[in-house]
Order: sequence, then C-alpha cells, then structure tokens
Amino acid sequence: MIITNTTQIESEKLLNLKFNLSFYGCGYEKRSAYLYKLLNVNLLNNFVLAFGANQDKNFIENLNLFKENPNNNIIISDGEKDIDIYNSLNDFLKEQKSKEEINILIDYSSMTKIWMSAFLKYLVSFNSENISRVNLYYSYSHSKFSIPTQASKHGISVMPMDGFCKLSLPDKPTALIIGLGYDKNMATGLSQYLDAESYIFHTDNSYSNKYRTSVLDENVDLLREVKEENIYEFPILDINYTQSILHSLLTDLLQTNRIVLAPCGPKIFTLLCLVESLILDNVDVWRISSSVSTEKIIDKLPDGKISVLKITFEN
Amino acid sequence: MDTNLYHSFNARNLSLFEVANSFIINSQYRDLISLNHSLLLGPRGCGKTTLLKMLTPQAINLWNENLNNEKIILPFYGVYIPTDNQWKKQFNQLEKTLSFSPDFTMLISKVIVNTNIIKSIVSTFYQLLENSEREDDFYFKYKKELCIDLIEIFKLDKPISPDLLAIELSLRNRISNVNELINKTLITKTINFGELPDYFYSEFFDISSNAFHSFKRHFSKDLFFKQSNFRWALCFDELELAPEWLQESLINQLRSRNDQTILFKLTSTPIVQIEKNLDENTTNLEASTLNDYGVIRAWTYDQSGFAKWNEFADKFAFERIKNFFDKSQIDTEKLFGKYDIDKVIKSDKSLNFNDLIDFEDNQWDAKYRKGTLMWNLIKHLAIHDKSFRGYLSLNNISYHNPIPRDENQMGKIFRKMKPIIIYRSQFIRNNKKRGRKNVPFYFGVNNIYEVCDGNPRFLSGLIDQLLKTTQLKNIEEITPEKQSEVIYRISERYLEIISSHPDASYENRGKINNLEKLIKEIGMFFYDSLITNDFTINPIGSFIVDNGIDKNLANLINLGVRLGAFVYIDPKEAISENGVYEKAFRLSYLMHPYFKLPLREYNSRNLSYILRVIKKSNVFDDFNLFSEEQ
Repeated sequence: MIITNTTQIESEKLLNLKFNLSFYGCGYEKRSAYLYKLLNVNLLNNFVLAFGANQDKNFIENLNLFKENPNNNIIISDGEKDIDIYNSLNDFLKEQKSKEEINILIDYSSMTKIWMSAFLKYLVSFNSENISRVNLYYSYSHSKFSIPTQASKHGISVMPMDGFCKLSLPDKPTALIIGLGYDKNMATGLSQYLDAESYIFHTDNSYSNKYRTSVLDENVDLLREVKEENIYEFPILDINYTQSILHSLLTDLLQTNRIVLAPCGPKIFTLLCLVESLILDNVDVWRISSSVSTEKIIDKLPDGKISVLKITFEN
Repeated sequence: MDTNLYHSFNARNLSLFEVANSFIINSQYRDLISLNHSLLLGPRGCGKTTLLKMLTPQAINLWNENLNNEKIILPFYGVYIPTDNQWKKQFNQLEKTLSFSPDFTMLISKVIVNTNIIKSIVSTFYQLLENSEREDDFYFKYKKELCIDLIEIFKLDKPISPDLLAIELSLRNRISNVNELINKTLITKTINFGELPDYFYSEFFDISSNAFHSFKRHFSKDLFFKQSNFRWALCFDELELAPEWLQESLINQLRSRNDQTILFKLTSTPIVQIEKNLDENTTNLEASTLNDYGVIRAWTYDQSGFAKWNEFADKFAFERIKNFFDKSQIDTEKLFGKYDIDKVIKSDKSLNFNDLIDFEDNQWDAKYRKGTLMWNLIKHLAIHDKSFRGYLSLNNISYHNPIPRDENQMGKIFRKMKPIIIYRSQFIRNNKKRGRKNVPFYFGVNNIYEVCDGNPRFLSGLIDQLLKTTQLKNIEEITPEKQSEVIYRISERYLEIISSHPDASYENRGKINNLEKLIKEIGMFFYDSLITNDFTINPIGSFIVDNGIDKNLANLINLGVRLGAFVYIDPKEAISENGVYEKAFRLSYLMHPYFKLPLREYNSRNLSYILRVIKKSNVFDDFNLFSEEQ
C-alpha cells in the first residue's frame, strides 16, 4: 500500500469514529491512559503495548487500568521490538474479507519510535485484494511542561531506522534536518558526523513558550552554528502546516541533496518525518539514542490537548 | 561564538568550480599527479577530497582557464568516486536487515558500489565530452557509439537512448529497483539467485576497464583527444568508509598490474588497518611502496612537513583574508603579528621584571646574559619552584646567576628548557599550582598556522573567527590577548565537538567511555608532566599505544586519529595489521591551548601507563583549566 493522504483532524471526531483496531502505549506517564479514558470505548481489538522492564508505581496504575477491560490485549515488550505489532496487524488484516476501509487508532503519546513507526512500516509492505484502504489515526496527548532531565552527555548511538532508510548513491551531499529536542550534543555530533548542511526545526511559541525557550537554551551552541535561514519554527498544534513546511523544504533540498531526518524533539515531528520518508525517495530517518539510559523518570501530565493525524494508505 | 570548525571549507560539499577556484597547489598534489597508484593519507579536514577532486577533467579545465594559475597537465583523467558516512550507515543497516542471507547482502553491496563507480565514470565522460561545446558530426557519432557500448557494458535496461544523461538516469533507476528487490525479499524471505539480473554478478574493475577501452576506441582518432594517452585514475575518497570487501579489493589493486591504463588514487585516514587474511601480496605492502604505489602523508609529523604546511597556510590565509577585506594588498603579519613571547612576558605585570637588558649583538648567549629577560625568568621560577632549583643545581647552574657556561650547555639545556620555563612560570607560585584563564601563549602568524597542525579546515575556521573580531574597513593587528582568547575557545569547542561524535563513545560494564574523556586524561597527564610534577627538561608529551590498551580504547584512538585529535608522529607504516598499536601519537596542536601546553613534541610513554597514573591521581577534581587565579 502507499500513502495517499495525510491530514490533521480534530480530536473530537475520534469520539464519532468506529475503530477496527486500537493501540495504546502504556508507560509511567499519566498521559499514557488519557485518551483511552476519554474515549471510554469497549472494543474487542484493543492492544496495549506495555514496557516490560517498568515497575514504576505510575506504570502499574496505568497497566491496571488497561487490565480492567478483559478484552484488552496486553503486550509486554521492551520498546525495541516491533514484531508484536506486526503479528497483531497481520492476524487482524489477513482475516478481513472484502472490507472497504479499516480504521486503526494509535495513541503514540507513550510509544517508542520503534513502536510508532511499526504501523507505517507494516502497511507499506502490506498488500491485500480484500482491503482497499486503511486509515491510521495517530493521536498524541500533549503534556504540561516539565523541567527536562539532564540529557546524557556521552554514549550516543545513531542509526538509520529500519524501514525508513533506502540505499542511495553518495553522489550528492547530505542535508541534515534536525527536529530539536533536549539532546544538544547528539544533534551537534550528527551534524559533524555527516558533514552535512544542517537545518533545524523547533517549536514556535504558539503552544508552550516555556518548552520552546528551554529547548533553545539547551541548543544554544548548535543554533549559532547553523545558518539563520536554515532554522524553521513550527506550530506544533498545526500539523498540516508543519508538514507543509517540512515537505516543501524536503522537495527543494532533494534537487541537490540526499537527506537525513533526525527527529530529537516532539513526537509529532517524528511522525511527520516517518511519513515524509515513505512519501519521498532519498529521505532517511535516523534514530539518535543514548546507549545507557541516564534519564530520570518524569511523569508527564496530560494538558487536555490531543493532536490527531489521519494517514490514509491505499492499494 | 560561532566555531564551525568542520563545516567551513569542506570540499565534499563544494562544486568543482568552487574547489578549483579556491585551490592552492601543494607538495602533496604534485606527488598525487604522478603516474602511479597513490595512497593519500591524512586526518579529516586535511584537504584530501580537494586534492582528489582536482584530478577531474572539469576541475583542471576550470583551473587552467584562470590565466594567473600555473597550468596543470595531468597524465590521466581522474574519476572522482565519493563515499560518505550516510552511505556507510546505509550499508550497515542493509547487513542488519538482510542478516538472514549474507550472500545476498554481499551481492547487493556490490551492485550499489559498482553503480556508484559506473555513475562516476559516466560523470567523467560527461565532463570530457559535453563541456567541449562541440557540434561536429564526428563528435556526435563517436559519442553515440560510446553510449551504445556503455549500455552493453553496464547491462542497462532497454530500451534506452544512447545518451550519457539517459545512462545516468538508468543507473539511478537501478538503485530504485534494488531497493524494491530488498523490500520484496524482506517480505518473502526467499531469494532466487538465478533470477537476479546479470549486473548483480559484474566486477567493478572489469566494467571500468571495458568502459575506458571503449572510450579510447571511439575517441583515439579524434583531434580533440590527440594529446591524451587515455589513462584513467579511479579516485576513491574516504576508503575507511567503504564496505570492507571494497577496501580489501582496492588495497589488493594497489599491487596489481592488470591494466596499465588504470591507476588507483585512494584516500584514507593516517593508518589503514587491514585484516590478516588479506591477499598475501599485501602482507608486505610497505616494503615495496616505492615500486608499486606512492604513500602521500597529508599531515604534519616532522619539521619538513611543518615547513611545507607553513608555506601553504600562508597562501591560504592570504586568500581568505583578501576575500574578507575585499582588498588585494593584504599583509597577514600586520593582522596577526609575529609570535614574540618575550614581549608578552615582559608585559606581564605579575612577574614584576624591571630594568631588563636587551643585548643587540648576535652572540650565542645574547638573550641569556645577566639582566636579560631569560636570566630573570629562570631566577624567578627557581624561587617559586624548588624542583627547578634542584634541576639547576644538579646541572651546576647557579639560580642566583643562571647563565650558560658554554655553547654546548646553551643548546642542551637553556634553549631546550625555555618553553618549559615560560609555561611553568605562569602556573607555579610558591611551589603551588595556580589557575590562569587566558595567558596569551597562542598568537602570531606562525603560531596560528602551527595550532592548526596541517589542517586547512581548522585554519579556515580559525581565521574566520579571528577576522570576526576586526573592523571590516581597518586592517589592524589583533592583539595577542584577543587571538589567544579566540584560539582557547576554538580549542575548547573542538573538544566538545569530538565528544559528541556518534562513534566517540562505547559502553563497558554499564559505564560509558568517551574520546573526550580519553583526550582529557592524556592532556592532563601531559600538563602534569610539564607543569605540576617535578621539573624535567624531557617532559612527556606523546604516547605509544601499547598492548595494555584494549580494543575498544584502540578504536577510540583510531577515531581520534581520523578526526585529527591525535597526530601519528612516527608514520613508518601506512597499512598495518596492528592498526594503532605500537605507534606513537601526540595530541593535535589544536588541543594544546585547552591544556595550556606549548606547541612542541615531547617524549613518549606507554598509554596504559599514562592512564594508570592519571586514574590514581585526583587530577579531574582539582584541574580546572579555566579557573581564574584567586
């Protein structure tokens, strides 16, 4: 299947939609279960991806909430494997006979990049005569601002994301697009590593000025080293607009570059990077991570806003 | 402060026009254009890519078009073949994704590498043919016949127009087809090797050789190529990033004499590590380098290297400054001054030297006689540093009147200890270490060149930063203090940049080790040896990677060598089974300002000893390089 359309929809519309499948990520954040509680639906095909190693009190509370519904399928995973998601999708989609349209809800607020990318990766390889369209509703519960933990200074590992990296010829220089987050050294390191012209995307102040300021403060050296005209601000609540500026920059850069997208910041931007990588050739998404987790647990509280991106796949 | 050390002047991302326009011929280029295989070695930023790109026909044409340039006639046509880290990671990912079939992975890897080489050959043919603005019938006929040949040699999908651009497009489609094939294989998990297209089984050397022979066949009678001897140089950039099978194949090719019309020009890091199971011809590569291929070392490891570097750097700086001020008459020395450390020490009020005597004669002891700056400085240090007093006494030199007794002692002791005395006198008071933020040690034209340690990219970054401190209209000397401040900051930022390199860390038993930490440990040991420990005229300032160093740490050192943080100072081996082991290195002079070390090479110790000593000391706790004196 291929992506034929992406559009942001209002979160209220989720209440009126019928989902054939739903996936939630269960972590230590209170916002893990926020959408689940809000929708209050009792579906047969709810899948809950829970972090196996987590024994935090908040996590157990969230998990117990999901367990209250005996129909929920709880999948314990370490966040690095996507096979359970494939199996769940496979089992369901293969059984469908002459289904015009399938709707799948994915609450990726507490999902890892591997988990959130698995649905897209699966569908681009999926081919069925029985199903002509699959709509993925990627939903994200925003959180109240919390002071970031100190990011790990060392122990960085970078690698292309499986399924979002294609072989290319190295005859054009690399352009690096960084979604700015709190990993200042990671972004600088990657920029040097690739010998790339760097472009920065960071949130504007339309949603949370505190978040914006703290990210900019963290990356002050990097921002000085990137050309002013290569720095883009995006309104995180307006996904259509954010995607349009990202897409137009990518199509422009692709004339003369190969591209590496390195989303270190908000998950909404990460999702857009994954989508663009599937739409355009020569656009890789790289995952940057710390090899040893030094992060302290922060319970991110939902602030009530939900952003939803509908991604349509068709045969 | 903007300290964009790596991005400035990176030839990888420059067009051939930009490369030719900013090119300065150096000794390495003259070696590289000789009619033999070449292995051009050097750290990142030392100009290897520029040199390779300047072997391509288009770059040479652009260069020669400028009448002010010394005309270059190459005995071959260079085919520039790029590689980069993004590509390397794509191959790594391929191996991971297709781990269930290493044979298929190898075939895919070969197809992609071959396509890259073919694409580069087509680009070179394009430079030779399409830029000539010819419109005669012979030209069109020969070109069409060549393209028909190439379509067959490259096994391109048909129908296809016999045109170089169409061939290039077809090669790009080949990559898309390979990606599709990978996706299908991932789903089906089955590979029918017999059904793979024929180009999966091509060898790059055969394809290249056939393509070059075809070019010669069609154009050997063409007047436009009458002076050509139809030799070709396949110029592989950044060998260390290429797939391992290709590295091995290319190193083997250096020794081969298969096709005398094809030369190999390879660039790599200062030490090319080979596996022991390579072709037996390669096991004794070094012994026959003079016969088969030339090793060109593009870094500063000896006095001769520094002399060549200074000459190049002078021209490079001149061009950079000229463009900044947009004036043709530029005096680099007027802007940065000469390195005159005596003047700086004289102006240091904390030393409180009054009534210094300057002797104008040129006698051997003129600068060390009673009352001179050095005489006062030696006395001063002897008062504050009892270990130095002990050293003088041991050598029968009175610290009340420290003058050399003869020319021999002058050379062996006084001249040698001068930089050590200068540094120690700044950091020792009353037998205790004192912190000082910015002692203006690093300034002046030659010092600026030396700090950059043979690396044009560092030099361009540093000059840009220094120029930012000046007024655009006035070419006035930048003070030593200002220059030193800029250099300190660049040194500091360089260390930060290194620490954030994605390969600069590894995990061992839950703990992270990092190149920055390693450099700091080494630098602090050198600092201690020079400043904190008892005075010695032979401090430790370099290290040998001994067998006590584990592989993870050796990999970090290798990365440091590649990034230019460590300088290979005794480069007897270019290709080595041992990699960095048993070889001596110093810190790049760009690191020296951070550790407040003189730009000198000192004695070596085993690295395992250095790390053992530094771990025992609490040097990380009390060594605050940027703290001010309280």
